[in-house]
Amino acid sequence: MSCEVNRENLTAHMAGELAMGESEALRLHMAVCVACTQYLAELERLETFCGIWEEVEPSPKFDARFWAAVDGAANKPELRIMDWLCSRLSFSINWRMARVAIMLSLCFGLSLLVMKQPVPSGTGSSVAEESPATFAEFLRIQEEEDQIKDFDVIANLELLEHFDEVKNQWLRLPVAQQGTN
Amino acid sequence: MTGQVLHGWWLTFLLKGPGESEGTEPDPDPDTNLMLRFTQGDQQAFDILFNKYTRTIINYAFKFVGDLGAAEDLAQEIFLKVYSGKNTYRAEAKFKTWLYKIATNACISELRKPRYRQTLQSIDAPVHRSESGESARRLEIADTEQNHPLKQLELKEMRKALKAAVDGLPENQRLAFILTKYQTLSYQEVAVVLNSSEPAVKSLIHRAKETLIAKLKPTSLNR
Ligand SMILES: [Zn+2]
Repeated sequence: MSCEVNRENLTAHMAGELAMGESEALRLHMAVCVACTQYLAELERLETFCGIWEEVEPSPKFDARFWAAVDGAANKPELRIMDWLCSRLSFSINWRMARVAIMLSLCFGLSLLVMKQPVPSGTGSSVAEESPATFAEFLRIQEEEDQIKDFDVIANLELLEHFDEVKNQWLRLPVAQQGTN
Repeated sequence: MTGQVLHGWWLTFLLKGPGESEGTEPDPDPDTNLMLRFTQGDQQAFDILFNKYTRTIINYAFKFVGDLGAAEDLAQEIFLKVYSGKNTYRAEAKFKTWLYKIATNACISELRKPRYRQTLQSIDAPVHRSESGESARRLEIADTEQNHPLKQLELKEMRKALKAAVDGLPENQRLAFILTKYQTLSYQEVAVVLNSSEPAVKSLIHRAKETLIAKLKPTSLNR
């Protein structure tokens, strides 16, 4: 055993904290090591010297001051509310069931959040991808998209007017050419 | 800090629940039982704990701040936390170690205030630096001892040297040393208070005492 380990055990031994198995090793080392024997003497002197640190007595008004502080703290409204809440919660709640309920509520809340996400469109520019910062922003983008759709319909009205004509032309084409158009 | 505590509490609540130990047998530790009685509204149980630990906690705080008034202010803060902790106290925590955790946190926070850091530096100065001053003081004390019995002034000087040496220890060593030497906590209890292990505490105390011997040998231990 090294002197360092032995001295650690020596300190523990003096505090009555040495494990049973370590005592014999300590005794054997101390029997042959002069340096550790000197260290033991220093350790004992330190123990005695440490005894000079004075103990203080609480001042007579300490109790009264403390209880005044307790009264002061108890009159704070936020603490009274907390106290009231805690006293309400302390009646016989089945905590196991409460935990299951909290877990279920969390899962339900999360699933609601997921369901509220807009479905991505085929163009790859869904509202979710653009991450609108606020709900108002989300509504604005939605409105703009609707306006663009309306514009597309208006622009294609002319084509719709000629729809029958185009259809008839297309039907008159030979079957082989229909696939290429 | 509060966020972390709340987060920790929340996780523990989800995993274990505050009423987990309700069905178990009462804790054999009498102080823990008293605290549990207090959590159920028994004011007298708190009074017993308060009377039992007032002097101990004031003296613990005194070891750090070195002034009775400041130590009492700290002790008041500590007991207020214990008092308001009746809603959060859990039977798994032994009252004594729970109390010392609160007390240790309060003392450490106090010592991190600028005024204590300045005080610490000024007290530390002669012990660490002034080699010539050190020799002069050593001679002076040795001379006093040879010719006169121990005087009050000398005792004051030695206490100052001891406090300076303890204050100069790294924080964990200082805490472990004070908790075992002056508060008579076991290594196991200190390990709980410091969120550490028993072997680590054993090592901390050994290193603390080794440092103290080296620091105090020139002044007081050779007497
Ligand atoms: Zn040795």
